[in-house]
Amino acid sequence: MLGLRKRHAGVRLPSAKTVADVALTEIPAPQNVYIPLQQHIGIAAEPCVKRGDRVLMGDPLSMSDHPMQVPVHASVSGKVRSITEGVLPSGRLGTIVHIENDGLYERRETSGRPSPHDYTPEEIRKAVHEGGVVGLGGAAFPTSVKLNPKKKIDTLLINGCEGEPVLSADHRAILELTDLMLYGIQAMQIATGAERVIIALEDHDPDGAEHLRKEAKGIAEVVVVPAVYPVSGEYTLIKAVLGRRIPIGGLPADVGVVVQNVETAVAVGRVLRDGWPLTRRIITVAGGDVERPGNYYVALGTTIADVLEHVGCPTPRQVLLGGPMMGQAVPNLDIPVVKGTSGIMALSPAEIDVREPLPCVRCGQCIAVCDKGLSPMMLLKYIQNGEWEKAEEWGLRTCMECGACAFVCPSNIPLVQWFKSGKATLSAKAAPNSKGS
Amino acid sequence: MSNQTTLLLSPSPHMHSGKTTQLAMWGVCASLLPVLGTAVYLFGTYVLILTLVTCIGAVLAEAASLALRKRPWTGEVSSLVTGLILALTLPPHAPLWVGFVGGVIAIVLGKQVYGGTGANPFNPAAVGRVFLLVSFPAQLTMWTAPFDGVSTATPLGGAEASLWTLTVGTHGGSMGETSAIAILCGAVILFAMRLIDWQAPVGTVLGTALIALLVGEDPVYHVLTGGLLFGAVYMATDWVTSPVTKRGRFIFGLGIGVLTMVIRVWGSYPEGVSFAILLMNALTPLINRAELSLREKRRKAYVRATS
Repeated sequence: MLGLRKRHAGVRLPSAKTVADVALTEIPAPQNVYIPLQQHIGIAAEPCVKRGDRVLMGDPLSMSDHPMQVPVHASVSGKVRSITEGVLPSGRLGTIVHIENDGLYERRETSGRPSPHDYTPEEIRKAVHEGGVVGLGGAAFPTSVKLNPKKKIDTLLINGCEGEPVLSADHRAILELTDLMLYGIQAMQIATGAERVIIALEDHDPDGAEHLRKEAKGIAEVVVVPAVYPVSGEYTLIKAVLGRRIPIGGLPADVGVVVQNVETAVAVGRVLRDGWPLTRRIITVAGGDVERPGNYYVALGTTIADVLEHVGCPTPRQVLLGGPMMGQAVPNLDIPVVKGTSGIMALSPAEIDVREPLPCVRCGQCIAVCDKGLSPMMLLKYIQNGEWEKAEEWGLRTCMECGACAFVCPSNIPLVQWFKSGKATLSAKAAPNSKGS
Repeated sequence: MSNQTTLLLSPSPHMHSGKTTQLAMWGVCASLLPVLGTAVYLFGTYVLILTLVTCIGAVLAEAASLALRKRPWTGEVSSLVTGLILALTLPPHAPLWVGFVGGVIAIVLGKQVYGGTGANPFNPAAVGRVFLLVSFPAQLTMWTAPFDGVSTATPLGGAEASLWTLTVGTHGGSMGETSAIAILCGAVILFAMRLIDWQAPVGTVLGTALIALLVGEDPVYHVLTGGLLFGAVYMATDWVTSPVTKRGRFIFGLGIGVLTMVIRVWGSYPEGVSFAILLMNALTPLINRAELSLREKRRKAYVRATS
């Protein structure tokens, strides 16, 4: 029996999985989809369609052999209306392919293989890359790269912890897409050569754990970790489950581990079993302003506006991409859903949490909860005083912006905002040439 | 593709524990109720008036200072907490003006001159008390016996007191410090609300007991007499003026206990908790620096060892 190996810092968040029991349904693809070429960590692949082309559902819109250049695919059939520069969910500019949906949903011919054992590791990586699969837990790192580790891997760790309150897409995937997920997990085990597979779940998901203990028998062990945020982060999860610590700036592979999210496993399963690329994902849509909150399949490229229209949200006030802890408030609703989008929240006035910051009272709670071992209080001081070398030395760059410190701060200090802007300043200072002058 | 809705932008996280400084201060007030109640029971209703006047002094001083400094009044309850704590360290029949002056001094010299809440190195209530003690020694040592109000001495000043008397508080002393049971009730409330952790109070008690044993005195007696428990629970746990790490707070508490005993045994004052707290307040930045540098070193040593 696997126990927990190492205590980690962090904070117990109030459980707010309000739509965990709402079964998956589909939001029909809208009239127009806007598909960015850049939906992952890496470089956008070159477009392989042009304006006026007719594309089928599942057709690649971009292609590259480079593993860090992950292709994207058409999520509807129809005409390519334009390929232009637009605003990505990250706030940066990037190329966006606008497809007008012809409503026929004509699918590209695809084929897969009935068992993951019919594939060689190389074939798995190639199919995963060509199928556009990236990490669906949020970071959107190219999956085929993770499946091609440079070091010996002994453990494949499947991350079913949804640390963000409210989000329950992974939970639904575990319950409703079990076969595809297990197919994907087996394929990833073949590709990484891991001897052992562990599925980690948080302790507020006992249904998922019980379900998997039955269904995944012989394929993976199930470990339940305490839902102490941010245990869902891959570094923290490895520490909690295996007692191994990744060097700062290092990768899970450095300690013999590959971490994949459950929905990523589903996507891998779909690519290999059905030959179907990543054209949609599961998103939790919730918040007090949403009339029909739930867990939805959403075609990639659907705008937030179209999603909210379907679920009923006539007058959104504040809209988050992601969950309440790390989700970003968006300035407008024209932003498309991409591979890394895990949730959309439309907050009601009662849920909107805007606070007046007060001076630091040195209570030390931010230090106690930081799982990266940082001293947020000191980083804040260094940033406010412009002591950039100190901020760098005290690890500002290793902050993962999980928000645990700001969550507990009794003075309501927006620590994450300070750290984000501080990191941006550090980056600008590290690359003086890019700034001119 | 355009829409006219204005969406509210604010930084993540979009959730908060809800445990603000403001609420914490109300929590401290609540935890002081058993202590205040016991004081009223033992020494009569004059205690309430004295407490009220001290709090008025503190809150007025806060409002006046903020107005002079042209800072907004943020609805701070911390000055009320300072007033309450200071009042409870005064003799039960100290003159009202003593309480008022103490409240004003605690806020002005203890907090506002440094820049207000969060910026003060010393515990404001301890500053107020020490100011009163050195300025008005006669009024600050007017000890009266519980229930009848007859003049008496404190156990530290030589009066006989049984263990039972010290525990329930039926002996002479400052109004909030005599009853160990009432203070422990307050500590449990603070602890249950997670407003304090055990390190500083336990450290203080251990430090006191340790030195008492070393010099051959009764450790239980030294822990239960004077303002030791009250100071350990309510002044050594002040967020602003105690260290930011748990181990730091333990060291801080130990220091308070040791210094209190040094003053009690070798100093010219019979009691030294407030002095000890102020001295350790002065060392807090040093403890923080050592603790956080160590934390950093551990973080970096790990990076070097594994990469």
